[in-house]
Amino acid sequence: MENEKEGFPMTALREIRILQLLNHENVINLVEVCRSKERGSIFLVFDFCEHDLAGLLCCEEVRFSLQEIKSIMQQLFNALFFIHGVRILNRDMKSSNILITRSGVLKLGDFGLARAMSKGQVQRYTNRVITLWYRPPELFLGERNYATPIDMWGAGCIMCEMWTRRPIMQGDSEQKQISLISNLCGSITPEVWPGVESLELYCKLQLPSDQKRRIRERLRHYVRDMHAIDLIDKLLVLDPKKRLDSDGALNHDFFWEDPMPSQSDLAHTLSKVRRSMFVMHTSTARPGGGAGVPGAGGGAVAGNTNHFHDRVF
Amino acid sequence: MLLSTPSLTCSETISQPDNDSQSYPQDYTTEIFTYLREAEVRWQPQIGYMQKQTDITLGMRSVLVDWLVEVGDEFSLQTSTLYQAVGLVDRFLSLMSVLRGKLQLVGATAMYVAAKLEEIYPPELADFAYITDNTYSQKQIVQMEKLMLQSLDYHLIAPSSTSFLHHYLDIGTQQSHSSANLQTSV
Repeated sequence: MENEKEGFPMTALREIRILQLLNHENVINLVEVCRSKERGSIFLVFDFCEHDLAGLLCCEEVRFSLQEIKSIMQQLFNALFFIHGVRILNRDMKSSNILITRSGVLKLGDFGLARAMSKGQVQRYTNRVITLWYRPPELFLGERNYATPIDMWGAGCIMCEMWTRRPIMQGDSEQKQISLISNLCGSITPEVWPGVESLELYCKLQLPSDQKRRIRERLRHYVRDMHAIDLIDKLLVLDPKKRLDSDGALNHDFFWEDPMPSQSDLAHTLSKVRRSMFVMHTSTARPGGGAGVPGAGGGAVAGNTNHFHDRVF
Repeated sequence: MLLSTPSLTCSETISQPDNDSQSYPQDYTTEIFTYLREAEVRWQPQIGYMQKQTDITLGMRSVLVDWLVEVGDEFSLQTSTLYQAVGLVDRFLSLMSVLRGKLQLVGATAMYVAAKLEEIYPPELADFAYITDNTYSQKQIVQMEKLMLQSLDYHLIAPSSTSFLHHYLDIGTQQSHSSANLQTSV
């Protein structure tokens, strides 16, 4: 804060405002804002969550059953349905921003890049948002009038991770990332994505041609449930207009066929995890370029049990 | 700007907007409106707060608001920024006793905070010190900002009359289109 030339950071002000607006079981709850006396650092105090999804997926002892995966994904889509309903874009979907309590309640966190959608007109939002690995194709192509489908792409990537246990497309540059996307989802062409040719960078980027869509065959090695593959296939759609929205995802057969989602199973599995699982928000976890870490000082509240080692990040 | 919105019974006046209307997502019109009304009341400045102020008067407040309108013009700020700023001033003055020599500082700071919330490119801190004719230093503005944020407990979102205006206009246009009677004077 002392180094802030412009007083209270604008990004933090906006993050606080959005967090105060959001009140939902599956969205992180801002308890209060604190400032330290000496250095004036700002702390956002949130409800305590023991784990984040990236941390849990890194930990080999934690095995999720299909019911548990369904419960996590259902809660994630509930969160997205809620924030999109009140016209907020998260713009930083990734597994390390999905927090999970020991009782199996998912909380979508980190609204440092979030913004409210304006109504009417063609918008010119910044397209340098979202961590590279979870960034949808339209942002690479320079789209600035984007909307809620950008978060749904991230949700699709996260859903794959439930089985692959690590991010599915780990590009180290924008060019590499777009190749990885084409490799998995097929070439970006006006046939599969009408209107793509009018995007600013369509002609300027090197877009791999003649790639076939391989999602289903690639996932078959990891995912046995056909409904799961079908849902992922509908989320990782190149054309944002054809991508499934949160309402469509919640109504997908994946959530309505046996075995049904079970939060109590999830709580049971997590009760056996004795340590807090967090992926640290460090440079190794984030690829270079693109979305910067928001300026807000994030904080975790002290834990309520002795079993957990809390990390303030 | 201290006017509160006319009280409406939602079911009577809030009809679903046309498909081409850009106001609220269709299904939630009534809920959003009800929420805004509740929030407006919750974050309202205290009525008659000026009586508790010892050194400043309503006249001085009007001069301050006039000046804020000018500042908004000067920097080409959004209307919503101005309304938010005036809202912040009133809510702050409901809580804190302010000397007349510091009233303009409160105003400039409120505008600065509102601009950071609303504007794509908010003016810089130095600009806000400059428009007070350097009566206050940048450091004073930052200190006042800290005090303002803390005393308002970081609740900076209060619906202002602009939040409702677009909606009323929509209703007005719709009803005159369908030649229905306006049930309240908006």
